Amino acid sequence: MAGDRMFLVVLALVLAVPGTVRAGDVAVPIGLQAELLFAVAGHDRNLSARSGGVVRTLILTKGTDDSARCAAQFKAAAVARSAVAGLPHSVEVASFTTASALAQVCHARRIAIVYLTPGFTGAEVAAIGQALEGGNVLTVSASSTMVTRGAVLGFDLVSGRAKLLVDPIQAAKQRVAFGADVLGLMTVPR
Amino acid sequence: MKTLRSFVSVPLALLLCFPVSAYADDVSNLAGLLDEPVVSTASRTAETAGLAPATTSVITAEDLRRHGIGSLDEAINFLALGMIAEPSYGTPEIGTRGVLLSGDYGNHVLLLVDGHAVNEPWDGTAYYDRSAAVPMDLVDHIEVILGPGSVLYGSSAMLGVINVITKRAKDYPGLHLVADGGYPASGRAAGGYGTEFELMGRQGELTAGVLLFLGLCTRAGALIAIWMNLNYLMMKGWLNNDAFNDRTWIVCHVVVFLTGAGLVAGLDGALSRFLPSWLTGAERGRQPAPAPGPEPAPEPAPSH
Repeated sequence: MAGDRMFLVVLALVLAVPGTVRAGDVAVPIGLQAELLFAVAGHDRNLSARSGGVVRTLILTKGTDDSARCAAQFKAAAVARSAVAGLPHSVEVASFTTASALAQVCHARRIAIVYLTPGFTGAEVAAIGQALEGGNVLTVSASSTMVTRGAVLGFDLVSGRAKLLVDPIQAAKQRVAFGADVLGLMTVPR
Repeated sequence: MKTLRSFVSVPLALLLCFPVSAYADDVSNLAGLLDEPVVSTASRTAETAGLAPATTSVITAEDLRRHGIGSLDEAINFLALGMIAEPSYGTPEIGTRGVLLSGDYGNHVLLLVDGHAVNEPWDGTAYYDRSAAVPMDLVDHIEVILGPGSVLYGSSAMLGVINVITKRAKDYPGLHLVADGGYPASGRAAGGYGTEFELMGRQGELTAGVLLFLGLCTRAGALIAIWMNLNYLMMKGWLNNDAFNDRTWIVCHVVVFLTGAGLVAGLDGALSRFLPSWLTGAERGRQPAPAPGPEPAPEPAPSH
């Protein structure tokens, strides 16, 4: 029994070392993510209704190095956008506590876009998606795997090209409405 | 009547055209962003090709499949960008236009797999005919930089850098079997598997591939191949055909490729719960983070 456990641990370490290093290399650049996000957000039919005159983007962080690095890079790219879809744009950064607290903040401050930095678990993103149902906010994840967990939009890199991933069911729950021509440029993950 | 019709139809046509054309421009802008190549070799970080400090040529998995490219040297010659691969007794020799150092076994070009150098440390040899030990079906794309890259990558990058990026498990789900070849010269069979999983709350993935090269050669060629490739399987041919006599051998190269991601992260997160804080460096009893809110206003600059 102990031998089996040792074998599994050794096997896991052998398998994981190259892949873990690679996983950090293959990602859509943060600057390109920001460009794509604000270009797509302009095609959301409910953006002007939800923003109330000012598009507020909330960068949600976790207490990890990757999250902090991503938040800093995304903020630098986001503040350069003074306007989104012709509306004034402002950027805020906050740490994640609970999904319900996030929903309250989004409602109170009329947050239009929530950007989830890396470091969120699937359960946390699912809780965020559930808490924001019925609200009016676009949630975007830097990680492609979180689109199937509760984020509306995500980014992926395939064959050296960025891809937009969308969960249309979650988008409908959060009142995000993209046109057919934009949806044609997106991929729905299985 | 004709004047009235023109008077109405021209403004109406203009009215209908303007918003549509503006909207189409926005979508084309988004499509342009999605079509921009993302490379990671020029500066060891993912960036758009337009911002990269070196010109990078990319060949994608779709190109490899569509054009029947079965090895890395074929892919390099397919790109035709000035870097060339020439067949040799051992591994194909690689060079650039005007600079092909015969007998250097490709040690003037750095070969990377997912950013890791795979040139042999002893003499810098890189094996392009076996696709850098990566089955071509697992290749997501190949980035090629023509020109010196030794400032970033050290030795072996004098003529250029080739980076083979493998597929993620989500792009290679399930079991894949591939077989191709040309009778009686060569054959290739490959199998692969990719899966995603969750380990202790962390996302993980695993991709695996096995590649089998078959090639006919004479006994002398086989002996040279044995000498060159002791770590590869070789077996004598058993085909009962006039075209194959006792001096014809089947050379068989087996390439196995495995990669996994997320396992270390999952194990690290799980084990750190049971280890003392002085060992892991983690802060115990961390205070909960404050609720999201506006950023504090910057402090006023001191007046002098």
